[in-house]
Amino acid sequence: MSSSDKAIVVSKVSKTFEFKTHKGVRGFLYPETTAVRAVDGVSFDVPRGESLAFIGPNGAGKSTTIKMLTGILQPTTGTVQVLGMRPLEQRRELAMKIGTVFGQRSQLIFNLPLTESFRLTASMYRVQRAEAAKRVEKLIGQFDLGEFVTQPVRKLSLGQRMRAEVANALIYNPEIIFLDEPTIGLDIVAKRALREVIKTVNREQGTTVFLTSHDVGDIEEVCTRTMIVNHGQIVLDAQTADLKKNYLRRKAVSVVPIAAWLDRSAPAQWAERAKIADVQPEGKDGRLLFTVDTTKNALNDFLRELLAQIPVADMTIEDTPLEDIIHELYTKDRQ
Amino acid sequence: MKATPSKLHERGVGQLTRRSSLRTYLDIIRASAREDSANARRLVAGVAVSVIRVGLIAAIYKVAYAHSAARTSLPYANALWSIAAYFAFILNLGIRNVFKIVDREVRTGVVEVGVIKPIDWRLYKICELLGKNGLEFLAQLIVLPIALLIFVGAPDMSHLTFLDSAAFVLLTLLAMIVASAMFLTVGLAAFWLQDAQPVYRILDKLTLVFGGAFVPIALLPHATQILVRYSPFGVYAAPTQLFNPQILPSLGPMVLAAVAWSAFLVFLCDRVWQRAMSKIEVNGG
Repeated sequence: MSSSDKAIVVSKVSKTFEFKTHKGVRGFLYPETTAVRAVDGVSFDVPRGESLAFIGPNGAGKSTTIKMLTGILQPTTGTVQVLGMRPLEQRRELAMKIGTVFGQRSQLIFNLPLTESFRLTASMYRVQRAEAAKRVEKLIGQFDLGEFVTQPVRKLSLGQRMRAEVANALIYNPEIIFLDEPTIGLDIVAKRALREVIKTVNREQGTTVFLTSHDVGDIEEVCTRTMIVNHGQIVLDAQTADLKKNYLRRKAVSVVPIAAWLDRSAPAQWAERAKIADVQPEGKDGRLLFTVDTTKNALNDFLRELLAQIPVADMTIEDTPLEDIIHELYTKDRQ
Repeated sequence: MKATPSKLHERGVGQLTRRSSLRTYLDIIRASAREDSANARRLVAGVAVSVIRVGLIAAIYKVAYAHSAARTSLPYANALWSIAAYFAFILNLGIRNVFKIVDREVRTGVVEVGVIKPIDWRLYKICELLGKNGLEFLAQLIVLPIALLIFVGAPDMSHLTFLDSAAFVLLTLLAMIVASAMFLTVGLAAFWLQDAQPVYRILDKLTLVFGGAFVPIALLPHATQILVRYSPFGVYAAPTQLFNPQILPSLGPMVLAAVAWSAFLVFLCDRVWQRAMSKIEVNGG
């Protein structure tokens, strides 16, 4: 793959932050500093048009990496190239070609209709007025913004606002879009809608997607490749399909049996009575919690057996929390 | 279907029409003004408060002028017009408030979203402020002269030549640059200080005292006047001296001082900004 096919090239990048150990007068008299290495010798590249999930627990180094890629921070060592440019030195030139959406920092004008934010963004990125109008019209359709595009941003729901944020970042047709926790705080319907439009933009326009999230759904549905970071290092870099196959193998099944079933024995005995296949549940607050290893038990078979044995009032099935997978991967990596 | 790299290369800057950055900054002012115009009540209240304030000061100064020798140095009407100009320019246009915007954005980390836009974040913030306060300032420019004509009559402007007027226009621009650079620099102190408010308060009070908020500069002792006139605070308030005939002999040196302070403070602001960018990690990295 030639370098022009790569949207991002990161080579042996580290970032160390230094903080004064003591504050105030003591800090003046004893100017010691504590160094914290947020990113530690990371190397990777991202081909143009790829959708990459860059995930990790809080403090893993995700945001620091995004900030180095967008030109906010300078790496302590190593080199970063985004679209063939050095982000810090060519920040404004690069800004014209990248879009950024920060889930917790709005870039829209709070008291004005969305159209005003779009107009100002187009102006900042020097999109010709007629061209901007065409793009806005297209994005309104694509992101289904028609119903509320004339409403002040402050009146939008979080889901509507996030869709608008992404649309706003795409007005100037960036080659890469950095999405920092775009689905944070959204309900399931809004999350799905947002994931769908990000996928569409990646598929139809070839926009490279660089996404950080704590939500497994974002990764599964949007990204073809997943990179897990922890303590500033890449713990895993894999195709999302492989990650799912190899690591998302446990499902947490929570069952609320009907009251009559529970009444038949003491809570301590529920678990023994509800043993299905090889899965031993935990009994807690009138619930039975099963952790199903899908490599050993097909979920379908497990559920069939479960429903045959236990009269169920309510049931939820969840993936293993991402934090658990990361923890497991990181522990394995250390070992 | 995925876009090919060559297709991707066609996009971005190359495809965008280059327009003047000036237009972008005007668009920022316009958007900010529109955002503020949604709050029409605040605008009307602001103008009303200024009219009442000028009316009260006119009454107080009338008594003061009747019992002092001040009337010999600065006519009563000119003193009031000068104070009104101070209110409109320093308080209502309020460039000094750029400190609050910068301070807030640095402390909350919002600055990181701003610096990755293809425009100068500092100018962006100043334009935002001009848009926010511009409408009220324009309203004051219309309403206050009418109120002053009613309260104290027209000022004596016979001292002013065309060249002097041009010098005042230049001084106004330089005053805006000096104020922007000075208060932006203090705002950027938030990168180093946990609370930059005390520094701002000191500068703000100096601006009020040396700018003529309490007493017109023309009524200060002569030695103090000289000191104040050529200080950055004096330069910031220089446009309000338009109604002071005594200022004319000093107009040339004042323009020079304004140019010198502008150059120095813009340079200082830029240096602080460069250093601040390397500190951005502290605020959210």
